[in-house]
Amino acid sequence: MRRRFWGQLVVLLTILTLITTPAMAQQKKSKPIKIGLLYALSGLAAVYTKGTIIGHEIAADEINEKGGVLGRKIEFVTRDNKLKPGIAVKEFRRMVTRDQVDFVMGIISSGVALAVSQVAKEMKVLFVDTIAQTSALTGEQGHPYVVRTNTNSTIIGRTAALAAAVQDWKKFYFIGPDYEWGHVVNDDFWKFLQTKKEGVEKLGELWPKLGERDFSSHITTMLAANPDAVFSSLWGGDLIAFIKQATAYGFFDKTQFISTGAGDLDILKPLGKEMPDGLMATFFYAFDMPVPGKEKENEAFVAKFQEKAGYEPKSGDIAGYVSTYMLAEAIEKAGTTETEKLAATLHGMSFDTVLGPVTIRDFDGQSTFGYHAGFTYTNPDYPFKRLKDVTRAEGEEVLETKAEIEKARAEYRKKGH
Amino acid sequence: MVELLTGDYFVTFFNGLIIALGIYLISSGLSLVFGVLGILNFAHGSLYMYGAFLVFTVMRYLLPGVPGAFWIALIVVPVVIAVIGIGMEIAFLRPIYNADHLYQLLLTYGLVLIFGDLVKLIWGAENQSVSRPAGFEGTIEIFGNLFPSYQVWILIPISLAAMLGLYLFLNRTHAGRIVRAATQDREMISALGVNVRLLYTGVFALGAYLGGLGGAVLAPMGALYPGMDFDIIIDVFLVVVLGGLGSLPGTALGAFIFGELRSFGILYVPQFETLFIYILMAVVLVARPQGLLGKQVQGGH
Repeated sequence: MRRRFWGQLVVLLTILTLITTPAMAQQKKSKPIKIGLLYALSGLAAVYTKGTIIGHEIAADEINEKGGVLGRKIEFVTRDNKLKPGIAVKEFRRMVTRDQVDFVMGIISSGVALAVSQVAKEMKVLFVDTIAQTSALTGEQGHPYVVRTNTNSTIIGRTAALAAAVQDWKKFYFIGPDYEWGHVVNDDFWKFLQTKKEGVEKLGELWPKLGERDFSSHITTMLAANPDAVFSSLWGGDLIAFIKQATAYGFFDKTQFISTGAGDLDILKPLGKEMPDGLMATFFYAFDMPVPGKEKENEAFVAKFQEKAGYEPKSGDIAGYVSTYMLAEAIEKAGTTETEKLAATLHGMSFDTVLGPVTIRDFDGQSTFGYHAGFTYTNPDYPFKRLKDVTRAEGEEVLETKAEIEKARAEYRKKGH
Repeated sequence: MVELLTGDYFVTFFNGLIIALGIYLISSGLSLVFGVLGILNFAHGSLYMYGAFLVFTVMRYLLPGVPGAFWIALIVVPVVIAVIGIGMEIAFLRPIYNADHLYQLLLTYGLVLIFGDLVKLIWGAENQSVSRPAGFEGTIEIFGNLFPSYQVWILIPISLAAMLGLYLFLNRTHAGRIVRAATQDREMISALGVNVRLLYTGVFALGAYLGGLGGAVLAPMGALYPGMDFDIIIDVFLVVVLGGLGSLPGTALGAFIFGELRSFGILYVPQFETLFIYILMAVVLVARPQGLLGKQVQGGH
């Protein structure tokens, strides 16, 4: 009797094991791909990051509907870095160790991105920079575990320089917010312009603090110097305040304004018709001007985004969308989310995105997106200004060369880093 | 060469005046409230911010496209802010008048955080803009130099009117005399039968009105955003501490110094421009802790 009991128990257990093992294997196979999203969700940057995350989500939904990546669904773990490097680093570590993300995407602030990139290097975890523009990230501080699926500040300044070089502006004044981004962009513009055009002169530079409200003194100082053009890396509320105040001094009738921020919807929309015509603005993406050949895809994305967010997508928003697609394709190609293989696959890989063809360069992880320069004008179809006479600079035209990157890294190492 | 210098000098000086009058208008309310109630109201910046955002709301949502909407807003919004101020005073400040200064500071700081988040909830976190009223979008020429007509025709007169109005109120009216007495000796005027409660509420309402007026008047000059309360309160503190807390002439002097140092600083030494005002404040506080024109702080608190 007892032997029969034990015999039946063994059979029962065997059957159970045989049934559950494939089920568990099945579960393991459809374990989701966990992607960490690390952005400043609170405070003033929230305005920008909200749309980026929606961009990520739209891409993930589309990809998941078509079966996911390697048969697995994409899942996001979203955390707030509060625009502080210390908090970002802490959340990055937490996402990797506790939330077990496969890699991390994010970051708006250049300073925060640099801090996180160092931790990614130390922990050997892949960090995909979707927005932060500092060239140092893939330049002198670059390493195999960081890639950027966006442009960098070098492109911005240089695209503006290319566009400025064909005009007859000789005397330049500079104004920018007094932190890394502001200085770097102005430097890139000035250095590149000098290589493209002779006889250009820098009359002076002003560095108001980030968050400056009152530019009256800066405006009068610049007007007194009588420049042909003023190059500005101001953005956000600072730029809005500057444009409003400068208009009242007749600034834009006296000098050409070149702005890295004036092409953004969060400047154009609040200002409405207060935005002057004829300003030169550089921009990554404009929802009403798709890359030739990608009109349908762009329209589809714009419609989806507008429905989810309630407004037209901006550069940072489509960055979330495109970045997610690029990573999904790379995971498919690598056949795994394992860091070393994925990072190696990303470097040197080419993609066909809604923003056109792009390559992630193998020696620095920087994407070769193109950049645009245009002039503001009044378009009757919209209650805010649009851009015309747009010129495009391809990534290869304006990115740092391999030699420049290697030189920068060598110098950085010499300084003891 | 001389003309060039005088040209630059005049523009910079006049610009400094514009800055000074702007910051004076905002700071006057804080200074008044401190002088009478002895409370350093952090949330004064919030009242300023709400003044600006309410003007935005009037022009964008309540009266869009209505000619003269801005002027209506300019008249009505500061009154609304004054009412909010009365509510703030009765609900939050009355219970703590006799509490330690630290508690008062913490409470008003807490109010700043609450009001700040409320702005994000109501208006969102994006930058907003209030356009200048029709006819004042352009420039006006003074001695061959261009200045914004809005600042010249609206900001300067309103700010000067506030300055004059406060002076006349405090020095030529009966109520004003009581207020002045309150800044010197709170306990005594209570002993003399003045309704101190009403006085406090009234003064706070006036301070809030001025803060809201400052926000409304300055709204078309820049961007509106959550966080503008913090940005302005730093400059306001600087001005009132420099000039002497509780002294309105001191606030005016502090504002003047602030405006001119900024204006000339940016012209001549842009790299160190922000440093000057802080160095000056440090020097003044060491040499004369009550500020340039301040009186000794009332004892017993």
